[in-house]
Amino acid sequence: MANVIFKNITKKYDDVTAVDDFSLEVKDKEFLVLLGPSGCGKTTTMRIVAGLEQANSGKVLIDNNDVTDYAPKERDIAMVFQSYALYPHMTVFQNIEYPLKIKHVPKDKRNDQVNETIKKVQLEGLLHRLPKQLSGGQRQRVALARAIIRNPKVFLMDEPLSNLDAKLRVEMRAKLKNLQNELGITTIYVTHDQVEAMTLADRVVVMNNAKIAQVSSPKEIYNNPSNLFVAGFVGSPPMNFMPGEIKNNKFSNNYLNEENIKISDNNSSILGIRPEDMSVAQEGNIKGEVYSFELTGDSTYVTVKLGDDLIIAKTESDYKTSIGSPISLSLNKNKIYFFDSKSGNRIVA
Amino acid sequence: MLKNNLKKPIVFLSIVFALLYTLFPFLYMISVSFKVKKDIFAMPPKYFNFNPTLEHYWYTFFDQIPFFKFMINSFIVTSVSTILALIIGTLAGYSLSRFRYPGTLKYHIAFWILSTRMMPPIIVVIPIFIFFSYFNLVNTRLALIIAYTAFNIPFVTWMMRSFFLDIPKELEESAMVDGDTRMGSFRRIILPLAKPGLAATSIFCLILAWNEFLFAVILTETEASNTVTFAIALGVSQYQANWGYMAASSTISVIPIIIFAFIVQKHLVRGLSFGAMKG
Repeated sequence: MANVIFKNITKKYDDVTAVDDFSLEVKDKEFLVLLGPSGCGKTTTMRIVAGLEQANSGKVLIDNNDVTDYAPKERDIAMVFQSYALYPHMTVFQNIEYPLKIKHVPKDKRNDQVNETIKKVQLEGLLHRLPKQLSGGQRQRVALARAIIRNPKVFLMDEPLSNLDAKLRVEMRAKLKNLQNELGITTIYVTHDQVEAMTLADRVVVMNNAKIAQVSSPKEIYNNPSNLFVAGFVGSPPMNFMPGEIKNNKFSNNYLNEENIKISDNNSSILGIRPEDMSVAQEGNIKGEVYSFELTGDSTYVTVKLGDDLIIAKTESDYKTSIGSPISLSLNKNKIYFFDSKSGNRIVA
Repeated sequence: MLKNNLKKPIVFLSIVFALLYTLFPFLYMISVSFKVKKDIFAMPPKYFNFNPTLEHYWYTFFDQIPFFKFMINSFIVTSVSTILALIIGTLAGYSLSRFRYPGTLKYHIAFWILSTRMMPPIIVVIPIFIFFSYFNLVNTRLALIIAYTAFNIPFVTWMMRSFFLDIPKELEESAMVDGDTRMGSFRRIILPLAKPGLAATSIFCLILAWNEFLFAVILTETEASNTVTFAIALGVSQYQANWGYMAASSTISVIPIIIFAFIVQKHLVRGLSFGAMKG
């Protein structure tokens, strides 16, 4: 059981900065998710923990030991790769047994441990198959079994669910969360899928352009985004942004006037509101026309055209309308966010 | 587009033609090795209607020429140089396929390795002869081993590099995270997957070393180090050419390579590494 500490990690490839001054403590037994768009540096950060990449500067501590200069095998970590990286010439049994074999664990003990592990991931009966004879979900479980058999200090998972189909992904997500809880092993999980991040994480680190954009619990990230990037990245459909200016406690642009806001004047601000915090009303404070509407099953997303902007509102599933018809929306005053469009930071009263 | 029932005979005939074209000299060589002198020079040539004889094989093995000795020399030189070239070239290819080099150095090194094969070997044979004579290596098997290893390294490096590039690097990364060393993961994970590549490459190396004549003839002149190709050439003398002997010794010299090709054939099938990655 161990914590992981990043101290001012910076990693550059030639002129490109992949990770920029990354500092963070992952607590013992925590499930930490690194979330961000592709190229934001999340995978590089994880590979630095694994020892597969060397940081240009900064330190990595595992269990309060400085492991910055350690080889991967000296770090006592286990990793599940996006591609699973199963050894194609070895059977399921040999794949799972491999980490123990390397450590010269006696054969009887290895057999016992493999048998115990496959029960945890439900792979009984497949032990003598080769990876190519397995389905995607089964390969995923082999990779997981190979990672947990050693009882490492830290688990690293690099988008482990992204190659599974939607149904299996939901199943495996639950399985992962349950397993991590049962084993109590500190886990760092990389994903670009915000649903995975929200459902799995104790804490989410949102990354953008090689930097940490925000670190908080999933709930905080969703309800209290600290900047435009986090507000726009987390949530599906994303938060609506409407540019305008704040003057004399009033936000206004050419289609919206929002009064009684307690924020100082700012001539380039952005109002943000999530689709579910708007509702269709008889006399709302925004008037536009229906651009499109989509029934998703339990609700309907209405895209509304306001001047040149398009915003999305979430309504009941039985809401009926037609494209081009006029619509009026009202905003939930308590759920409005303001951002400074220059810095991207949230403006709080 | 040709119809299917027309396509088949055309494909079949093309194959027959290609086989005749490539195998005829080989089959003719074998037939000459069983003919008496009179039949070898018969006009029109006798393809099947001759009285087979083993006299040339008898001559090859039991007359003045120490053919066995030459065979053994060839075995030693070929196998040692192939093994050395495979070891060195495989590691070089792995390095070029996996590691970061400063700037564009990697491409320069790769090109430089290849460029050593861009000239005809005869250009370097005299300098190499002089160089080897300094070290008293002329007339030794070691001289040929060094020369053939040097010839084969660039080839092995490039062949193995491309095989390694096809193997996902996550496999050895995973092995290293699982507790293995770089060399351990190379040996336990990467090499078994590169087996088809090693088999193909080793055949090429063997063929090159086994068939080499120029260096064999210049760097060696005693039976302690002469190879099979040299032995075959002994059939040509100032006044005559002993075609029967040359055909018989050539036929024998082909056999080891054919046997090796059959042994490694099953490894030549590619595709073991498929299924390692995404589902």
